[in-house]
Amino acid sequence: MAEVVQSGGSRKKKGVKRMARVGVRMDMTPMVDVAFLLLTFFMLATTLLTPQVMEISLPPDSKIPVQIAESNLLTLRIRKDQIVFWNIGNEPPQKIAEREVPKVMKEWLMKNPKLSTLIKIDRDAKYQTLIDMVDDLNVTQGDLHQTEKRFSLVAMDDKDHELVSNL
Amino acid sequence: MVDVGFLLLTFFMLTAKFKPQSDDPLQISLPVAQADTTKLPDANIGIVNIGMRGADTVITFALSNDKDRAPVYKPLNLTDVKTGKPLTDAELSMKGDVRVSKASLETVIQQARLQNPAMRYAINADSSVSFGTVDDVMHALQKYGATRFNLITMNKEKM
Repeated sequence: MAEVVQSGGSRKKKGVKRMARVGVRMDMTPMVDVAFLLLTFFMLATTLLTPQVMEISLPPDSKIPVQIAESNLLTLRIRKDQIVFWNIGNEPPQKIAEREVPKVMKEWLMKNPKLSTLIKIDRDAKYQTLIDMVDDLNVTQGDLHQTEKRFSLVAMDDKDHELVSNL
Repeated sequence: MVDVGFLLLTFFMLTAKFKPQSDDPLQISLPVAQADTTKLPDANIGIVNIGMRGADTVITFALSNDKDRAPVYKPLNLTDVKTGKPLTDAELSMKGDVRVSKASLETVIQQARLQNPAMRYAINADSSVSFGTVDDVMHALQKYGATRFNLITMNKEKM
């Protein structure tokens, strides 16, 4: 019973509504076009900005010297012409191609997990070389699952210039 | 489809963040690195931009939080380019970045440290600037106790 009554009533209402809306038709195409244009703009504008960051920690005071065993220190010197030299402790610096650096790092870090790396860069060298060195170190330590990062960054002093200038 | 389109439009509009205005933006091509996966936070950060303009190295300082800008930029005594009048606090808080010299960078970092101790710092340098300039900026940060900071890089895979 109830169903019948309901259906009859709704049918009536529907009929009335349909009558009122006859002839009203809205063209939504331009609005949708604009909406999609905006959508495309926002999508392109947002995805482009995704910079990454590299974490660097410096000691709070550079004047306090840090004692370190000679055998635990790998020094990398980067000359003005982007040529890299490496040595352990007080050994004489050796020339090395930039792409060989990760190999040396890996070799010594595997031998000695306590190794600290000292990166000395000429003030006139490019900033990209600093990023390359730290990145190589990060990649190598990641490969070896070493989480503790031990490296320091300094500018080359006169002594360093003397050491690597004639090599 | 249109409904989903509008949904996406709303989403992208709400998540979009606009770059703060800059009088003279620097063109910076970021150095490339592989190992970095941490994203740059977008609040509570002070960025030192180092870029090349011709043969000169230009340093600018940018703050992410607008409320920190006016007190930090105040000691620089910035003036309006057209009228020569000193900038008001409201105008200062609209400024995305300010050009600094080596000496005024230290002032700005000191002010920023006092204003917001929770602020983190990042160096956004062009890959072709000299290490010496970046080293000076790092020493300025170190001097005022900001010893942990970030270097902004671009991921190698995305290039």
